[in-house]
Amino acid sequence: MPDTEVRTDVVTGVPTDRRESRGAKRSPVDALPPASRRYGEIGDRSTKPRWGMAVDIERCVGCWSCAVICKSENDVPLGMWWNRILTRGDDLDRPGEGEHGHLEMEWVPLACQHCDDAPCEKVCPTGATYIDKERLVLVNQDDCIGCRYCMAACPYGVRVFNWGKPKYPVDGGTGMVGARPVGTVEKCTMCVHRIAEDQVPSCVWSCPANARVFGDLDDPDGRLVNLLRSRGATRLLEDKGTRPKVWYLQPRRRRPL
Amino acid sequence: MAVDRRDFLKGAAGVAGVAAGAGATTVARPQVRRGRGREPSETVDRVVRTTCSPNCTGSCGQLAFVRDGRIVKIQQAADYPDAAYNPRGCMKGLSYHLQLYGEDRITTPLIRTGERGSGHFRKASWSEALDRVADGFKEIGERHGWDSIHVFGQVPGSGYIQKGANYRASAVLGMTHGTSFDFNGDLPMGMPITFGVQNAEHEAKDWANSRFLLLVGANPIETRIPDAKFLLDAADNGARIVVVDPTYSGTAAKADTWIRIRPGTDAAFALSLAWTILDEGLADLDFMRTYTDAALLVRSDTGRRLREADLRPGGSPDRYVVWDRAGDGPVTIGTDRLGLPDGVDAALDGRYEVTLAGGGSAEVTPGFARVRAELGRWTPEAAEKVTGIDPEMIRKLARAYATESPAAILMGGGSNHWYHGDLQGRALALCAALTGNIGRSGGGFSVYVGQYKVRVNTAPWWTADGEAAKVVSSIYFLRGPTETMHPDVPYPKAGYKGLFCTFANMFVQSPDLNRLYETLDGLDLIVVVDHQMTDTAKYADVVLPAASWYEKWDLTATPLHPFLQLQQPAVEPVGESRSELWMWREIVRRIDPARAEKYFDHDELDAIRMILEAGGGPGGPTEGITLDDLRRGPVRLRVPDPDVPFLDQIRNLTPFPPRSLPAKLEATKKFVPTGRIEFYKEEDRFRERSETVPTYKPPHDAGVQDRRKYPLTLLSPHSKWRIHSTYSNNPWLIEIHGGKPPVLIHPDDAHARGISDGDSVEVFNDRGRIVAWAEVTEAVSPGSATLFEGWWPRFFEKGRGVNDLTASSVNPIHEVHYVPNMWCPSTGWKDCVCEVRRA
Repeated sequence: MPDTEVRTDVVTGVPTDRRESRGAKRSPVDALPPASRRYGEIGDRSTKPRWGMAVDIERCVGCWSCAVICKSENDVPLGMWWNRILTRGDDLDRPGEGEHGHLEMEWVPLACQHCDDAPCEKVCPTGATYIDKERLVLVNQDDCIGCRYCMAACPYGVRVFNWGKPKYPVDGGTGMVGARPVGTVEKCTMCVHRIAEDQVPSCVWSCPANARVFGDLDDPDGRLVNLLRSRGATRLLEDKGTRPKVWYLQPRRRRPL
Repeated sequence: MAVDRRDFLKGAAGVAGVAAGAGATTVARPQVRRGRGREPSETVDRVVRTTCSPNCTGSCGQLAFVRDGRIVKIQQAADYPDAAYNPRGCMKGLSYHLQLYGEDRITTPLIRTGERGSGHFRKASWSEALDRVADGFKEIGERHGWDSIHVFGQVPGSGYIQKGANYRASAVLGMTHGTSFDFNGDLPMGMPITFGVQNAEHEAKDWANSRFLLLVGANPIETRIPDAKFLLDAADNGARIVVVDPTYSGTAAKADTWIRIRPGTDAAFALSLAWTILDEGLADLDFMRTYTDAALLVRSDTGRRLREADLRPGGSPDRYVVWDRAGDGPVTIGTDRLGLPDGVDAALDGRYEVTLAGGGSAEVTPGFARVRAELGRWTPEAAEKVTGIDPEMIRKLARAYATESPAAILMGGGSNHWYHGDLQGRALALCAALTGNIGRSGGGFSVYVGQYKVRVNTAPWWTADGEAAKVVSSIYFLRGPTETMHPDVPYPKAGYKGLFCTFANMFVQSPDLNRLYETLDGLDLIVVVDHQMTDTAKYADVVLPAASWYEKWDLTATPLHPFLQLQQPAVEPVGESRSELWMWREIVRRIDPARAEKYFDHDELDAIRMILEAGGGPGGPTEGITLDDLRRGPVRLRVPDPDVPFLDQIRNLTPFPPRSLPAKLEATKKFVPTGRIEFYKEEDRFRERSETVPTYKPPHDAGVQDRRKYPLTLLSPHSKWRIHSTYSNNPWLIEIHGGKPPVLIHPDDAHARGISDGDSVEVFNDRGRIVAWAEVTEAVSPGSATLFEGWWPRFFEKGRGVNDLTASSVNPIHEVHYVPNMWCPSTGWKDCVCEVRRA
């Protein structure tokens, strides 16, 4: 069977239907090829989901793909990261001496923990930081006055502040959400704009090691809850009582020779 | 879990300017009010499925999200029909739009106005630039011969069409094409020597089927990120992971055991492993008899194998002889089938007398006896003196490797990139054969280096009516011919006068740069095609702006997974950039319109169809695959699942080697004339150099330069933040790693030199010097300095990068045969000594 004819520009070789915007503005999810779209679907959830995430420390390879796609997806300016990877050991990607005098190293991805009992929400004088109906911690930038109490209150250090006009590496910025105003605080939204279209957050999609699992913490039969049950799952700074919805799966036991 | 605030602060400090967005000068985009924080996604015009393909072997399916004619997001397509591969792609690929629209993008043709390398250019029209190239090449071609023009293009496996256009144009005009796989040091010479193939690695997915993974000089967690998960899957499935590396790498962090080894001593380590397997009775000797040359007899007087022709008049010179213990006499065997004749109990040891055809007799011994004798020198205790590895660790490792089956060896560039990388490969291959781990899922000896692999029938596109371009190993372009160069190398009679450099930052990423620049200074015309203003482009006479892989068509594959994929243009090329195929069409048209019409009246899609059709016959690699299929997504090539090499040899006793495309089988068959896995090499040069069997030789550069002046080994591993020099200028990645090239040095060595963390230090040897910043860390071995390759020169205080210091030495063993990219000189990047001092 002959192939479908592809009409291309004689000079650039670009298909003629791609030479310019056709004006058909589509949601980035609707524009996905079918197989890709299926890959990103959130799937089962309870009637009133409480979104959470598991991050597998064993599977994290410290590549920052989740951090970079976060930056791209959310148009995070230069100098700011909503999501970053800590090295437990020494400086970036270097080991430190562990318990038995051996070198050890682990990577710990860190973004907003979407606490059920969020200190940032409590201290916000204007209610700009709020917990939405699906239990995500979000910021209403219209109401943010830039006092940064929330940044001081957050024990995880994951909020960033727009001190000046945002600077981007490329003209026009990137991604799928608009830039935040100068003088406001911003942070991970768990890609709430994607959840609205039944797609997992971009960090979950883009982890090449499949270290992240997203789902409904109130769905007792869901993949996320099962995973947390079957693996040693902990949360960061449990003693602070913040009850994060991001859980960390602990490394496997090693079998040295 | 006990991450405390201090940890957080430390992590934050590692990220340049986390909180401060100061210094902003432009508002690139209107700010959007965000009431309630829950706006829907911004819209796009389209999402285009294409393939990321720098020189990294990832070949990852990506989606380009396009808004107003620009790519605003790149994200993994995650559409492989085999879900294990989803998603495929790393942070570098996800940030490629910054390369497209960054400040280093070349947008017009440029013609040099200042001295070479001054960076002074004027913009030119395409017609002027192309005229300049065509006229210049015509003049060189007519005066010196067309073969004195070197066409260079990295790793054709990552793009059969545009890179293929280089080969086609070379064939059409008679220019010589350079190699890259060997030049990159990635050609694992142990493979052609032992198995007769260019290379043959397991599909990465197959790691998950292993019970035991032994990684030697390999760091897939950081340098093969799309495949890293398969190591983790293996661990999930209960496999044990052992990493042998001088450096505590990201992969060491995931291992059950990390074994520190002295740099460049991997062969001694592997020989002690092999010795222990043999000594403790753990070896699969039937495997050795059936598939390898172990039983073939070798004459003690000549060192050559005993042939049937030696035994009786009229006997075949191509039939070999084993000693049958059952019949207590010699038995001849052919090369048409592996295994041994029924009832033959072939000896692997002992000395025997045979009567020769011409009268008299000769002492013979099975080749394996010679291997065993060499191994006897490498008890764990003896090896420890070279490798620094505890003998007890070798014994534990040998027992686990030989019994936790199937077991895979993954050899990486850290082990291969040595002058004697072939010996390291041969010794590791011996371990795999001794345990019968060849040709089985979960096992194998795999060398993961380079996106070299030609998996389809490229002949109709890469040749001019079947006439292939002359191909010269690029190391000879760099340094001229060696005394031991193989006579088949088509080195140009007049030497080199012109260079057409594509897909490469050649003038930074070649070894022994000062020597390369001597060659460049003798050239009449240097043309560089790129989409980034690299230091290579800056040294050109004419710069031609290339379309990136998001702006043109190509067809791509990789050794790491078996999917054939398209690159489809997502957007129009930035500025006036164009595809390489278009450039060649225009250049050839200016030189010879008739040949242009005959050979370049094709567009990319024609070329893709030519390749699909050529391999589309029954049993062909592209059987049943159409362009339409590829436009929809990745298509698995017609290979076994999982894709494991040598299945036909192991299951059906078909002789080695399988074919290495695009070479003809006759060309590579001579690498292993016995048709078996060869651990004994009888060719003169192996005997002259005492390398007939796997052995250990000390690093080469330590004998070239004065070791007393240069006591440190200079390692230049791949960085996780770059693919060679690509992404060196990526702003997001620079924010993460900080953009200051570190020289990693052990605290002992730093202390002895009065060096503290963060000091500006000079790294130097007889070939060159650079200045960068010390990072004092226990992660690296005492006696070494580590400077990651691929930094652009702009990041150094002084110098162009590590290749100011690396060597271009050619190992004469690599010149025993000549088949481009398959048996030819492989660069020893890590075989380099230096000294470090405070700058």
